[in-house]
Amino acid sequence: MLAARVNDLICLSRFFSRNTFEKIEKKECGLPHLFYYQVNEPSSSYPPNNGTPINCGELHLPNTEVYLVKELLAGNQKIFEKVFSDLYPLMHSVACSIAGNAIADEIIQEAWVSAIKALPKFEGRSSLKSWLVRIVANEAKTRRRKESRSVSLESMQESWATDPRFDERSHWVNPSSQWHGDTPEELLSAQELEDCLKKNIDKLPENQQVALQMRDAGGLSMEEICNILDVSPSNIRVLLHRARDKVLQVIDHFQQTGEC
Amino acid sequence: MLPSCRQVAVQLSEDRDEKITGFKRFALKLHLSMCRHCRRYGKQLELSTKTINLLAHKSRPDPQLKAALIDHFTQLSVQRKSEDEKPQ
Ligand SMILES: [Zn+2]
Repeated sequence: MLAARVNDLICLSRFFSRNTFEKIEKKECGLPHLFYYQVNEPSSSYPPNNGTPINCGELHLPNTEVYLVKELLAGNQKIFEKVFSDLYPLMHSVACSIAGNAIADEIIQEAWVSAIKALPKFEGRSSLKSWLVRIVANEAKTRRRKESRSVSLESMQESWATDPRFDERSHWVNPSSQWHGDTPEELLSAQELEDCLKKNIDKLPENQQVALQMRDAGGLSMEEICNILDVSPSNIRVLLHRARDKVLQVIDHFQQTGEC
Repeated sequence: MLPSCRQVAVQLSEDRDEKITGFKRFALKLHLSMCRHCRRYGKQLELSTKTINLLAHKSRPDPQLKAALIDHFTQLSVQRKSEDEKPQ
C-alpha cells in the first residue's frame, strides 16, 4: 500500500518534471528498445497547468507513454511522426510475416487509420506499442484471409528430431564454425548476408516469423506477445528457439561458404 | 543429470526470454563450462538475435505513406478539436 503510494508520488512528480521526457532510453533483454524519445520541444500546453494530470495509477503506463498518448490526443504532429517512425520497423515486420511484403504498407496504413480513430478510447491496459502492434496484426490477419495467402499457421513439423548436427546421444557432431565478426554491424556489412537472412526469414513458418519479429526485432515482452498472439509462453519459446536456430544456421552457412 | 547439447541449445534460447533458475541453471552452467561447442552456440545465438534486431531497424517507411498518415492524423485532430469546442 505504502509502496503504491510512493509509486504514485514518483509518478506524479515525474509527470510534472519537464526533464523526464527529454532523454529516456529503455533497454529490454539486452536489445535496444524501439522507443527512444528525445523530445526537445514540449508543446505549449506542457507541463499541464490545470492541476489535473493523467492518473498514472489508473492507466498503468510509464510516464513516457502517458505523455505520448496525451500529446497524440492533442494533435501533436511531431510526436505522431516520431511514434510512427519508431514503430514502423516493428509494424512492417509483423505485417510482412503475417500477410507478405507486397501488402505490408497497405496494412500499416489501414492499421494507423484505425488507431488514430480509436486513440481516444485507448485505455492503457497494454503499452501503446503493443496496442498498435495488435491492431496491425489483426489487420494483417484479416487481409491475409482476403488475399488467401496459403500459409499454414501450424506448419511447424520440422526435422528438429533428426537434426544432422547432433549424434544419437544429442551431442554436437557438426557444431557451428568460428565466425568472422563479433558484432551485428560486422555481420551485416556483407550485403549478401543481409539479403540471405531476409530471404530465409521469409521462408520460416508464419508463427515463427511473427514471434521472431515481435520479440527479437521489436523487443516486445513475452507477456505482450502472448497477449497479442493468444499463444502460451511455452509455445512462444518453442517458436523463438526454432526461428533463432534457423537464423544462426543461415549465418553459419554463410560464414563457412560465403554463399546463401 | 546434465542436459545434452541439444537440450542446452534449447535452454540457451529460453534463457533469453525467461531466466532459467535453480538446479536447471546450475546444470546448464556446468555443461557450458565443459562444452566449447555449446559456449560458442550461446554466443552466436546472442549475436544472431542482435543481428535480427539491427536488420529490422534498417527498414524505413515510404515517404509517401508517412506523409499521407501525418496528413490524416492532422485532419482528424483538427476535426476532433472543433467538435470538442462546439457548445453543448
Ligand atoms: Zn554441449
